[in-house]
Amino acid sequence: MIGDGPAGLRAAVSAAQRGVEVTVIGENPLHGGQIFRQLTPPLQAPGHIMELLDRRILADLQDDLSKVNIQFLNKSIVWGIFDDKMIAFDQNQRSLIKARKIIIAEGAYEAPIAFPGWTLPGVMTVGGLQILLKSQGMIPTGKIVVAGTGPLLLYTASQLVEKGADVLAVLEASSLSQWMRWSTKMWRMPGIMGKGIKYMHTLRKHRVPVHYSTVPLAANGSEELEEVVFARADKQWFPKPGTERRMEADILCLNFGFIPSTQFTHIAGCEHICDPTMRSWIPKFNSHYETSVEGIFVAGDCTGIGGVKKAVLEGEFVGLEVARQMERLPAAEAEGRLSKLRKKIRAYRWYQQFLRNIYAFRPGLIDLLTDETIICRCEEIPYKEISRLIGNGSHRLEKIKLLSRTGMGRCQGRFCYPTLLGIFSGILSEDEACSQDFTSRVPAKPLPLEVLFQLPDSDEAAHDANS
Amino acid sequence: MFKRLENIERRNPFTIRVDGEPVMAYHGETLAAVLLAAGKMVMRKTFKGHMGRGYYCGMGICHECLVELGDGTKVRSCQTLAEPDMEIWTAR
Repeated sequence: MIGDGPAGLRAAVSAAQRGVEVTVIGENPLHGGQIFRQLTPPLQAPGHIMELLDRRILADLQDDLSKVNIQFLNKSIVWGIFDDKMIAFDQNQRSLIKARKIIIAEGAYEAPIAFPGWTLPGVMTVGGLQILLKSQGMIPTGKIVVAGTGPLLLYTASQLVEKGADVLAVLEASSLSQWMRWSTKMWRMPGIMGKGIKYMHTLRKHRVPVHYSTVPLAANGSEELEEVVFARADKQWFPKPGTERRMEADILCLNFGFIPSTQFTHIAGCEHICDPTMRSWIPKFNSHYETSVEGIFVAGDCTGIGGVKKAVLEGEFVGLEVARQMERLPAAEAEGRLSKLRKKIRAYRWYQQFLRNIYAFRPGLIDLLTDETIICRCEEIPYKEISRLIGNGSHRLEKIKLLSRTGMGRCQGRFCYPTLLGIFSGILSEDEACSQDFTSRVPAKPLPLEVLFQLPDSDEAAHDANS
Repeated sequence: MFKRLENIERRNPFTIRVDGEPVMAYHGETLAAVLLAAGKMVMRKTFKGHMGRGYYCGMGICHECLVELGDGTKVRSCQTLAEPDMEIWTAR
């Protein structure tokens, strides 16, 4: 099990309940993934700091976890997945583990939006700010602007003001009328509608304006963020000239949607489908959530952004499927349970579509780019370099990567490939845009060389897996 | 700049050294949180352009929050817990 968020934990529980020997490998000191991050012990508080959106799911999971035997490898960074399902990870003593089946539930991360100054200290993701709040109990002291699109902005801004933070404004890229139309679809999730109204009420009470049809244009400052420039935008998020406004700010937190993480599926050699509308890839998988590599399964947001409930259902499905393939679940029982789960998962497809609608890439975002705007943060590659290469005929992401180093840095393309896909979608044919992919090589994350020197030889590795 | 919320139980404060100066930290806090609470927004400088970079994704994947330990190793401050007597250098 690679990934210890809701999908990973649910899959681990479902498999372990059937007697499968499960090891969950996660990076953080505590399991839970991103959405369920809590105060890192020994930090403690009487309740949860942020209103947990799906408290029941977490409570159920923790209850189930306490009743099964699962090996947790925390603080473990997976850096390689090899042909024989040997997983290489970095965690001091242990370093290799051989699996019969691998479930990858690597989740998602926030979509990068490039614009002038987006790399300034003080400009961060909404998720990053939430982590400081949820798991560290920290809140900004200065002026905050929250920008992007979607309900997460209202949620975050209202949580911040309730804790006494100074939120200057929420900048929502889509229009109010568009949101009125979308909210008519939310009747299926009345809880969320109620919460949305509550957040808007909180913001109104604290006099935090929500500017619709508004996009950030630039983040200015010499060393750190000092000022946010923003403008009105049209339906495709193109900024309207002459509508620029400025605000002094210390923190700008952004959320324009999420990108399914496919780092481990790429390292494992799985095939992927490129989705230019969402500026991302998802792994190819069949009706059993098995990828193109036999014995490797996927579940959760990495199969497509779909929220916690979908993630948990997919986790349960995959856990049972793995148990079935390992003959811990009789075929007849499997049939019944899996097809019920399939129906339940299908019932959430509307939510996936809803998220696709609100988070879809709009061409106006490319209009935010200037020649000097950094596209590849890690390697400091500006937009003019990318334009030059595209102009010279480089229409493959992999070629631009090789010629410019875009995507070769520490983040391995996570925060630049989505922008490249957005750029491509405006220039290339649909076929060309949809057929982009990249190669991944080990190590998946930067490693000190000594980790390689400390790897056991093959005999020891076999022993390692059995202990 | 960030500050610590009040209704949270924090135990046994200790000191780490940041850019040669003592800075307070609590167990369970990441280096990133400690640095942000101390007003250190610029965590590293980029290799080519010497641009200041800081906390961005918070979940260990962007690698913008790298700081240098006393022995020269670079670590992701958002993923590294602060420990007593740690020596951290920023803007490197």
